[in-house]
Amino acid sequence: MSVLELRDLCVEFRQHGAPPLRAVDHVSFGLEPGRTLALVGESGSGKSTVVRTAGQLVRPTAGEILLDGHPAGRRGRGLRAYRRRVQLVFQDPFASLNPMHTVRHHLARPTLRLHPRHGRARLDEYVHELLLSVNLTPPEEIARKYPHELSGGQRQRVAIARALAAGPDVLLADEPVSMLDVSIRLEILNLIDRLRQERSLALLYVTHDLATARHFSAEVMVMYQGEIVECGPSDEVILRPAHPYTQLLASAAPDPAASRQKLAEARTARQQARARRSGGDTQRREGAAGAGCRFRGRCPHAMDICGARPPDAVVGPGHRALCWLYSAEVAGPKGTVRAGG
Amino acid sequence: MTAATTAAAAPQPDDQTRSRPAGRLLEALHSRRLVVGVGIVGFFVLLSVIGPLFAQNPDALSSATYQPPSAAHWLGTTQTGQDVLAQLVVSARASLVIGFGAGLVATVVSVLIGITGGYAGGFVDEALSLLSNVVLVIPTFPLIIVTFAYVKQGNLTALIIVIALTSWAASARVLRAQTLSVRNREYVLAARAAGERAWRIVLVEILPNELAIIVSQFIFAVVFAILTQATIAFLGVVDVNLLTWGNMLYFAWNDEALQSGAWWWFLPPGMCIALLGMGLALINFSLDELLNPRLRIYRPRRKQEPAARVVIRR
Amino acid sequence: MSDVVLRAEHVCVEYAGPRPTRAVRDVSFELRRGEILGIAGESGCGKSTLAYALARMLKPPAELTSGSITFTRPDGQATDVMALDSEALRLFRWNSVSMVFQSAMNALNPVTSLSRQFADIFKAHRPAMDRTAHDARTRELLEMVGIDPGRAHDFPHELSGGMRQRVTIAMALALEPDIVIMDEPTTALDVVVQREILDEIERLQSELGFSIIFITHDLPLLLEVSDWLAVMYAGSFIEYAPSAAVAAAPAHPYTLGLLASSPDMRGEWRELRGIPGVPPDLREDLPGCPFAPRCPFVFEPCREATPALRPLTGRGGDGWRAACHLHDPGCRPGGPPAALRSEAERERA
Repeated sequence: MSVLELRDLCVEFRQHGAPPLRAVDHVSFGLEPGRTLALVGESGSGKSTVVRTAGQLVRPTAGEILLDGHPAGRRGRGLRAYRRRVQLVFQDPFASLNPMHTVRHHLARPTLRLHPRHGRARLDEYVHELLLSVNLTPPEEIARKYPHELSGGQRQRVAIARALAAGPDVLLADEPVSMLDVSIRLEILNLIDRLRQERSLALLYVTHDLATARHFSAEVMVMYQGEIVECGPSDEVILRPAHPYTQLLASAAPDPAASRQKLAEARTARQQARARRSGGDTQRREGAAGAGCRFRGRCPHAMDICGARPPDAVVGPGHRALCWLYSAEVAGPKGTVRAGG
Repeated sequence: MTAATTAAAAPQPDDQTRSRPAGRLLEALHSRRLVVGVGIVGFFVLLSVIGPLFAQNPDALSSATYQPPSAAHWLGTTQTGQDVLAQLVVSARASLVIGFGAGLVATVVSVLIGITGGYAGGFVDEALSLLSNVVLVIPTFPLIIVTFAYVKQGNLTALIIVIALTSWAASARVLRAQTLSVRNREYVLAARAAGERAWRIVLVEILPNELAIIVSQFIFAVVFAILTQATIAFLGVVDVNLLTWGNMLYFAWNDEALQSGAWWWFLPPGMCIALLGMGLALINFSLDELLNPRLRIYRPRRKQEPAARVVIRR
Repeated sequence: MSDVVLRAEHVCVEYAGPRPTRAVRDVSFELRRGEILGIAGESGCGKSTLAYALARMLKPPAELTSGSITFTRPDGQATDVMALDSEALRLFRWNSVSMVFQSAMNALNPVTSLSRQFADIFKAHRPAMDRTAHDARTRELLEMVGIDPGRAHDFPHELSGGMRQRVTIAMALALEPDIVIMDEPTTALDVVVQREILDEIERLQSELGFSIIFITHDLPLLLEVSDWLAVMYAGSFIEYAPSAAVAAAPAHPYTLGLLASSPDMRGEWRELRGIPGVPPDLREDLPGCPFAPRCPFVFEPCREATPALRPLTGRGGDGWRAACHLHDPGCRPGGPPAALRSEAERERA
């Protein structure tokens, strides 16, 4: 049973002199306690908008947000109750803490607003508990510090502690480590993972890094231009991607295990593929106009039928892709046709 | 097993280590501009406070008219035999009160309008922007002159308020722009996610981050107010009972000091205005450098004995 | 053995200030013609400072406090980069060594068109060229990096991020330099675009034969792209190794940790660990090995003496160096721990 569910979520932004930008287009998914769902996509795919909408920082144009099956409160007390249960961790550890306030302020405010049982008497104790739970010691010293006195990793730990202050059931992590140094990323991800296990958090892990998405989450969703184009168990989606966009992402990732020769071959293959497609790469980047599949401009398997909106086809157990290649019409009654990969 | 990150761990090497206000103050004193600026402004403040206790009576008429500087009158006399230095000293008080008073009121108004509009967005923002733009576009001096036609003379408060209300608009626009930028920062979003109410976010999260700009705008407003008062005085909108530098300039011009060659009458007040303006501007610039480390230009002190000089291989 | 095009010896760069930051500490290396050298390191390790020093683009308060940088022209003549005067420096910059900066938006002027910016390069460095020659060469360069030459008069904001970065690469290659220094050229880009740009760089390099110093924090990327890999930590090179071999058998514990910090997407699941602790403050003197506080293999000599970047015996080809006491038979006669042994050493054991 999902703790947080988004149904047919749409978010549009008004633009001057242009039709509204559909940043999020009919996105649906559910988060379950104790499980991590990864949301993978490039910049501009809409994944940050999904997180902010799920955190009720951006108002959706259409669709529903359900908490424990009931519509989430949008105002006043209902909204506060929602915030108590759904919290966010932001991407930039340098920007998500107010440079004018101490660590204690950052942890005390959400506690006082959303978890007042701890009141003033216990506040300091609770703040120290939070700092210990993210491995920041000694807590008395850290609580007094200002953000610029902490390293990037420490700041992100404070951001995580702040998210935990309200005692949430759902944690939405928007690229929590992409702005940190490589050697400390895994520490932070391990921390988040441990907290998820200990507190049975329903975790949404947004990232552009397929490797950590695979290793830290049970399920992966791939987003392209506002739509979920593929979702399924993480090993399946990442090792045996079905949607051509996921295949493109997977092939673009560095492969340290490959030999020099294999790399050279892969490079030549890519260059030939690029040469085959006609020039003018701006058109490639932007979504193809019209109602059809948004990826068809860049897809090596594009067909005429792709001009119509593709169905949400089943590729395997729990594994779906938004692609004509796997629909009954194209794949035929025999079963799914695997494209490349 | 994740290692505990201790408080002793060093922050990134290029962080500013100025964690205590005292440290920053000491650093501030290294800035020559700040010292000079504070010195000038401090001098005038001191002058306005204790000067009148020692000066002669500025209103005392005498028969020694148009006297150049002498032992009896250090800055000479006016056309009516009044002591210029005494007038100068007493004017300092009124000029400073008008300057800082109007500057304060203008800043408060611009903060209220600019930040509220910037944070609220939507209709409120549009309305407040419209108001700012209208006030900005209206020519200041004709507006003041017309206003004073209706306001009774001798009212210092009225003068302060009128100057303030015609000069807040530019600052409001600046603050609105800054707020638009700050409100999308992640720490503001985080505060919203933590359930904070809008007024608290504006006051506690946003305002402190704009302090640098607000202080800067305040100082500009003070300079502007002093210059505005001087200008309108020169144009004739003058309360003859009030002694300000601007008024002195008006009287000097009116009584043809320039033609008479009585430089000691119009030069001192003009210079005081200019000096005070310069002092405030110096403070403004050095504060900028202090608060935004990226603007700091490293000025190396005299080099010590060369440690390891460049070894050029030939 | 191809000839050396750039030689850095004992380069030290310091940022002056009340407490000077020694950002680059005694770095020496050789870059050969046509070679791609990757410099890997995390934030604050000094790699960008080193790049600017090599291109002689350091600005106060940064200054080179000791060391030499020697550039050898194709005709064999050696030049001391730091001794160049203004005329010779102008000839050197962009003709011999050019740079691709991290963010194209930092390098491209947002208010002038691309053709104007290319023309600026030619006007500054090739005064003999006239307007038609500028236009022709600009079109040639844009085509070379895969951009429609008709876009020469566009402004930077009209191009996508990947295209902008290609333009900066084209600019860096405008005068056919011998060395191109690339400082995180793909970090701000999407993984797909990054792959395209890298392919482009590799193609151009094989066609035109220039050397590349490729600086990034993304180690797996360097393993694919570079010939030799230098890992930088706390201002010094702590390992210098052939890229093809280092992933399987890193010599320095920091390299091992960095490799472990970048999980392989396709690999088996294993417990993923980073490197605990934080890099040291470069304003301090760092007695002993700078990595000692974070090293899982730390032992006594580490705190006493700073290890020098020493060639490793028993690693087949020459040139592989590491700055670690674990590889010093004088400190550790039994050889390094298993995790840091070369393939050959492991087989022997």
